[in-house]
Amino acid sequence: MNGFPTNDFVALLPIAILTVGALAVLLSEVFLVSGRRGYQAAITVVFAVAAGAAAIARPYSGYVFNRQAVVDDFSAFVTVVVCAGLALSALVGAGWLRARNAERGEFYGLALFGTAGMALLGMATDLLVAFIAIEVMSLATYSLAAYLRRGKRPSEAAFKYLVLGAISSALFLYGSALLYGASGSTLFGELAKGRGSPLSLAGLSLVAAGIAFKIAAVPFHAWTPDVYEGAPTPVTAFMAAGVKAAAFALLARIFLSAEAGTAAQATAFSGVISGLAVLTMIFGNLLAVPQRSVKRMLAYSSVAHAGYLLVGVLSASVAGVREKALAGLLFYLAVYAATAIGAFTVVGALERRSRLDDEPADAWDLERFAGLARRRPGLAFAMAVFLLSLAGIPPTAGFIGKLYIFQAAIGAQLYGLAILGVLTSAMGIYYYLRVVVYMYMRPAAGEAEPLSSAATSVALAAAVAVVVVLGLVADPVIRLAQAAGAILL
Amino acid sequence: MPPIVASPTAAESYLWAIILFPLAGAIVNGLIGRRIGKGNVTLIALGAMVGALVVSTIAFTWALQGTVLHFRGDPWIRVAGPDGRALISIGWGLLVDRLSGTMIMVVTGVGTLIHIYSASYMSHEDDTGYARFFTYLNLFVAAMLTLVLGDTLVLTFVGWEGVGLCSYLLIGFWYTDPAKAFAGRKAFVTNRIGDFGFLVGLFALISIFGTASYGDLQAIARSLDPAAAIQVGTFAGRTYQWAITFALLGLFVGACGKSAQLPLYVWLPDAMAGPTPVSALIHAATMVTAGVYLVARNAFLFSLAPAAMATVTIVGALTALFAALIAFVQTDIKKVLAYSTVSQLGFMFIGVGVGAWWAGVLHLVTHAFFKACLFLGAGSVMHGMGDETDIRKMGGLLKKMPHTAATFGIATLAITGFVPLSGFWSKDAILGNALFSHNPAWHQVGEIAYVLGTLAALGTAFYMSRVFFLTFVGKPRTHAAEHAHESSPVMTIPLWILAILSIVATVLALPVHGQLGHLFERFVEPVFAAGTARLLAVEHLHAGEHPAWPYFAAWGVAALGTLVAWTMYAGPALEAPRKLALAFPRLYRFAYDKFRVDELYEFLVIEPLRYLAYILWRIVDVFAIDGLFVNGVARAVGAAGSMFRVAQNGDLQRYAAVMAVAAAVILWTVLGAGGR
Repeated sequence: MNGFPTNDFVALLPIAILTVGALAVLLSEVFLVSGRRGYQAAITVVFAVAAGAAAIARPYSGYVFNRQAVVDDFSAFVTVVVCAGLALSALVGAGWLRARNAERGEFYGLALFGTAGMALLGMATDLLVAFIAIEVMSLATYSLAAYLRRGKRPSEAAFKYLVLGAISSALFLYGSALLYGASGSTLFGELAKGRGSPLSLAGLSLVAAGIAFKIAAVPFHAWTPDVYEGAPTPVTAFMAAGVKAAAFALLARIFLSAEAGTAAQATAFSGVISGLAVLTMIFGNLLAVPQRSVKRMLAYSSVAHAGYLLVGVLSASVAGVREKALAGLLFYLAVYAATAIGAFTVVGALERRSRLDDEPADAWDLERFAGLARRRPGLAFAMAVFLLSLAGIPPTAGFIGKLYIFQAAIGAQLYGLAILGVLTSAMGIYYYLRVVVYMYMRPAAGEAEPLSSAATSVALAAAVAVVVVLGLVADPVIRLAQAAGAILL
Repeated sequence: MPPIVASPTAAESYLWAIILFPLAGAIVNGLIGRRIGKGNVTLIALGAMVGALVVSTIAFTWALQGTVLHFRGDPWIRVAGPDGRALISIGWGLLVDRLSGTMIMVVTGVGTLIHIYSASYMSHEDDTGYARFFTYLNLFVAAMLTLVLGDTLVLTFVGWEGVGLCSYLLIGFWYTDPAKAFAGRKAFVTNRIGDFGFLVGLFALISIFGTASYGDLQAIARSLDPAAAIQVGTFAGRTYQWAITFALLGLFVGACGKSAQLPLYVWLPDAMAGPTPVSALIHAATMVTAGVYLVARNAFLFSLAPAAMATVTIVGALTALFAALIAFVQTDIKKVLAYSTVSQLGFMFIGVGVGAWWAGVLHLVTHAFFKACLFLGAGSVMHGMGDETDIRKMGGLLKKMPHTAATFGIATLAITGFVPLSGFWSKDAILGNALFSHNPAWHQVGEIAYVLGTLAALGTAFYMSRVFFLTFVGKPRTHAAEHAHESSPVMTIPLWILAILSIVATVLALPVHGQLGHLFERFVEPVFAAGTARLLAVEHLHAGEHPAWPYFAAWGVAALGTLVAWTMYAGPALEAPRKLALAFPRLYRFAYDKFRVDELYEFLVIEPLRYLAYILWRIVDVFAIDGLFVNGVARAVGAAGSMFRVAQNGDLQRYAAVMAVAAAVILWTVLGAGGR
């Protein structure tokens, strides 16, 4: 058909499905006659599943849009992870928002749009496409963070997120411009051309700084605790799962393209990444220790996990262990998505629910978890599973993820980073287990009944299943992740 | 005809069902047992056992026809071999040959009978306790079947640990009584010591051969030259014989723990704290024979290591006599039976130690029948006497409990070794073979074992007859004995089945017409062929007919022991036991206190360990770890965390500034380091 790029559009099928889903949810608001919006979460889940299925079925593979994007196992894996995150978050949001009488189509619409951006980010092989994808994703999450306008915290959180996000976008864009100057192209494949020149180095560093903001790496993490705490809890879960996965996919592609064919860890760029990893692992864990708000603690934990994931990205630059490192990275991202959503869901279920704009300082205090095992044994067990997985204790999937990443780091001879990772993980056990101690060993303090809804329970059960099953039989997913990682160069 | 009966391939794929039946029963009863009532619990537990028994029977039928069923499971653990050798893959495979086929028939058959018996015996428990009991019992059977069916040492070890756990849970079943809980703990800890040996042996074998599967090991062992030197691994430079002896001694330490041999037998008598059906199933018929099974299973390896075989023989012989001596003066009916079990296990080890593996396994089977019958009979007596266990307070129960008395009598004759009951054939096959074996590592060990074993057999006849006469013959000595009542048919029917089995099992030992050896010997011959061939080659065993006189001697010994017991406890010399005890008060006291072995261990091992533990706790744990490391580090980390928290004050401008500065620092570093 005289030059009509059919393949390009077929390749975008998952993104198209997500966008159509968003439009469907938003349009349905117009024709709404009753206040019942239970169907919206269902629509979202259906479209998320359809998009994931489309990514798996993959009617077309290969480069599209003049090599500016690619459909491969890697992008498919990322799309499936973010779509699964979307489906879980939608289920969680349904219960949480209904309890606050705040369920609106915009929530699901924005989440679907944001996921479309994430899926595109997983495919991007061009700085400009990547930038567009980042913005699609970010604008949706900025708005989602401000979704509950009635409280003071959400608005503040969203404002901070927007302003700081703008700075990071500026850094990314400036870096892209410098890279274009150095190599004469915005394609990742050409990045290696200008290697060594100061222009290229500065460009890569600025791009890395921009991405470091999205993955919440120290010292670009400052927004994380405030925004994670201030945003509505289902939104926090969605951000922790999806944004991180998509941004890491981008970082892995850029890093490996830029480092293609160089000796391991010899370049200044990998120096930057390892510096970020060291700082992130140390400070993410260190700052999580004194937190009494569990939601804030989980925000810092998200920072800490970015550190471990950075170690995975770094190890991937060594030819021999690339497959293992990328498999570990992807596996870790998938597991972290399920775990973080699950943990934030439990936090959300325990929030005080007196009035909507009433956000007391102790809404997520440890004390609210006291005696949970007696009040709601199922909820406490699920939370315990998530926390153990975050801490990396077998037989949970979190352990397998850490095992793969640190093994890859040792294979890549990054001994210092591996040792630091293990030591800081040990530090993490302290603040994760503290919550377990409160749940199981302290007498109940609060009388408030935790939120319970069918949709939330389904999401929690699914997350627990993922964490436990992948912890016991990780092999199939690891193999998928290995296949996905093998595509990258 | 269903395919499982028609084709061995189909039967192989059903092998896991043997284990899954009782496992499923345990899971269901464990989860919802206490809510569904005793009737349903019994139905589920018993149904699971019958299911396992049916599938086992089908599998055993194949083994009877000479087909070896081998389910080759998927790889379970894959690790790199030592020194970069090929990958060691350990699978979920199951194996039913004539040895493990015999074992699963004993486990599921005796297990089913004991489940039936327990339904009545445990009926006084409340719903929760009743469900808990059957959960543990089913779980035990599942673990025991895993131990027996596993086609690798690793899977056997899984079952080995599983039965240890269930044994612990069931000994301490009435855990509110501290003495019983303590007995459970003692059993567990003693078994752990043995398990350590098992693990050492297992790892050594993996290091030597790079595999843990029985099939592979046997294939390698068949053509192995024991004097050759090992090239790689932990044992590089040693001969194969040395390394295999090392590994097998490790395994044998495990067998000593599980099968209650010297010096690790001390837990078994205390294990009688558990409910009596448990004593019958776990501590007589099945679990305690796991060590014998382990040695028999690895016969092809033991045949390469005469020193290890000599060790097995002498430990078995010493244990047989030692335990029989203690049993002389015990007054608790279950304790006598416990020491008798230890002693009989010693006989089995003599059998597998001298290379008469078939005889050891045959004694295992017959012992499972008559000892289970004795224990269940003891339980029936306790049931009728209001939980009394002291045989001095019984007497005259023959009339009150005719079924129990008759079955107990048959089983007593069987264990004593009266012709033609099963115990005679199996025990005397062991002793006869011991006498005519010539272990190249220690020529006289067979003869020593024969002498010790014959003395132990004399003792066995004496103490078992003593128990029978004191319990069932004479006049009732207490009020409870006068008013004892027979147990319900649910309990006496399993007793009769077991008693009949202890007679019928004689068939197994019948000489085969036209061939040398016995029926059972020919039956399991394929399993032990490799080991036997090697023993014949080094003249450890001799082909051909043995003289018959040891058999007659054994018969005479059994009759003598019984006669003496009759004289002293039911016949003319009723006063003799008391006079003897008075004449040798110290000796009597020493034997009554079980030769004070428990006290010796307490003094030699437990107290020093407790003292060391106390010191370690005070100095290392409380001071160094808790004080310096844990709390110190926690305080330091907490302080650091609070310090950096100041930077996180929620001020947007400051956050933005931090980002800008960070970007600048990165640029400066990169350009400083990378710029030319």
